[in-house]
Amino acid sequence: MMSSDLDAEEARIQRRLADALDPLLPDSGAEERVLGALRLATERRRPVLLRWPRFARWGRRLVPVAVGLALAALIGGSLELHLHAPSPSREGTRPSPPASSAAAVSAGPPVLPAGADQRYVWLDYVTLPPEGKPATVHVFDWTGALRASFQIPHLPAGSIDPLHVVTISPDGHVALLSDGTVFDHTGATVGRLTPPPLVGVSAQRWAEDDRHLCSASLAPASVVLTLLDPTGVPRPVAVLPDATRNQGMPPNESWGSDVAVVACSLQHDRAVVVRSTETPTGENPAAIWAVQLSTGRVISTLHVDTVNPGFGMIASADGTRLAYQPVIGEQPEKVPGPPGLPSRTMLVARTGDPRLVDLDTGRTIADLGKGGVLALNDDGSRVVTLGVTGRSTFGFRISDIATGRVVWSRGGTLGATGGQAVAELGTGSFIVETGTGNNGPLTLSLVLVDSGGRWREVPSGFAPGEVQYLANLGG
Amino acid sequence: MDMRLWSEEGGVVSALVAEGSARRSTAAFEAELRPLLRPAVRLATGMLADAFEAEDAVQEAALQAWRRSGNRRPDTELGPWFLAIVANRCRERRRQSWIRVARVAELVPAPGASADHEVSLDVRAALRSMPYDARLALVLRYYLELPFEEVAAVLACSVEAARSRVRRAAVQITPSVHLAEEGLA
Repeated sequence: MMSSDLDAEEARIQRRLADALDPLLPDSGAEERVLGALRLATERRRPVLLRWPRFARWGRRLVPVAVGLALAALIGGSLELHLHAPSPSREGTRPSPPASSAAAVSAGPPVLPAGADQRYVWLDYVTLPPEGKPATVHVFDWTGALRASFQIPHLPAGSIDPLHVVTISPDGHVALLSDGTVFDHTGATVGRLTPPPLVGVSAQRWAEDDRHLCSASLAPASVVLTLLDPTGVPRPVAVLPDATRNQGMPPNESWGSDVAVVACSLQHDRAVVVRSTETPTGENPAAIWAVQLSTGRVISTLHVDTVNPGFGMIASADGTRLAYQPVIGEQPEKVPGPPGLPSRTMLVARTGDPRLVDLDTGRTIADLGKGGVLALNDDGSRVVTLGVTGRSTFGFRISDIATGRVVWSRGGTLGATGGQAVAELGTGSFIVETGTGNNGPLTLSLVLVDSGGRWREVPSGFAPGEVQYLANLGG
Repeated sequence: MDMRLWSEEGGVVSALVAEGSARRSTAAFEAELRPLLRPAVRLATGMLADAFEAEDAVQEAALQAWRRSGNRRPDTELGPWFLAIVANRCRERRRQSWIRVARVAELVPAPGASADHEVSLDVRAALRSMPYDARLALVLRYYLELPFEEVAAVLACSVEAARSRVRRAAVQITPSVHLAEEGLA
């Protein structure tokens, strides 16, 4: 318990926090429900362990083999293979990364690994700091095969979430740490950005060439867009006047929401920068700029109120379209007071359905229905949406914007960590992360959906809570 | 009864023994975890300000902790280790903005809310606008009422650094507490 030398101010904070938060606590049965869920998950694991003892013993050493088997089985269409989550004692049994294709260097341009035409999706396995070990990245390719597992090099001390210190190129070939280290999909260090310019992961985005990054940073009353090149001097592109209502607020690095680059395309000569803030009532006033990279010309500026912080906005890779969930006004909400005291009326943000806007004109192209947007394809002509149909029940859908045709859909129950999607550059394919459980232990699967709506499901072998997507979100 | 069901790499693995061990191991873990669940629920509530979200985060953290219990160093106490996992789950849930906003907000306070209800709303708003690290430090110290040594263990930093973070967070929220109370007066 807290020591008795609490001064009056601290005691006041303590009291006010208790007043504010105690009414929000889950009911007293929450602990038992948590333990019940734990029992259910662990008890149902045992038959699987007995059936697949080698997996239990070796953990993810065999995941690549299992994924290969799963792929073969799924392609054959005759066998459904369920991988269970790795056992707790699997530490040290991860598959060895493939031989590095490039020697570690401390400076110089990134050297693209062999097979650079191959695109990857990256998953990371977060190991928390008290364990004293860095996060592990698992690299899957677009067939669903696990290509490599390695620990993130040089993770800054005290970093508890690699999502905040790593940014990955759209095709998954290279990644940048906040200390400036550039490493490739095998874990080899291939370059260094000097000086490290980073503020937060959402403030940088790789271009398609795996060499340049668009970087946004806050300056007094403005946002500065810079094109970074590991081989040369950063090139200032544009100074964008910050007109959000929260202008001047300090960066909020932890949430990563103040400034974000949501598209960076040399091929299309365009970057999209978002400056947004969070307000207690949830409007999140945001300014969105589409900028021509070669000239710094501002193609368009859009001011919106949104419930999405910057990183929650999804742009097409070519920077022409953007999905966000708007605030369409405020509405009074009557909040009942405690017994004997009057109710209080608050103004809270009223949200509309997600919409897709054309960044050239600012015009709304489509309302995307209830739920959330997980990814857009390259030109924003297709969208992956996630509809929430119940407390843990979701429905995924890939739709064609112009025709409204549903290309692929799938419903199911999944843990709250499920439900992400990545678009593959240049192909119209998506990977959608879902949960697979059927009342048993939940594991995450990658569903590979091509442009024709054909799909294959590949169990990842990981459970929700063990992995996060790192790669090319929204790309 | 021969309990040896298979043999690998020169070692003998008994399925039945393994099953019994697993059951005992789960029971032991559960016993160790149980007293930590209330602080964990409080931490998640402080971070997420939503009862459903908080319970989900703790549930995920419990499963995650069980899966990783073999990784925990013998000299690492379960409490700070588990609370750090809970904090990380809260951060990750917070990042799932689309899912978060699609859920129906829980606006009605539970029965028994404080008489300073209006102040509470303002304090929640102030908390919500705080950066993650600051909010975590504040909640650990003033809502879970942990000593600085344990705050430091959860934050994976020195005690002095923990004091500093808590101090900075307190400075951030103090004006809101004062303003809210003045408005009430």
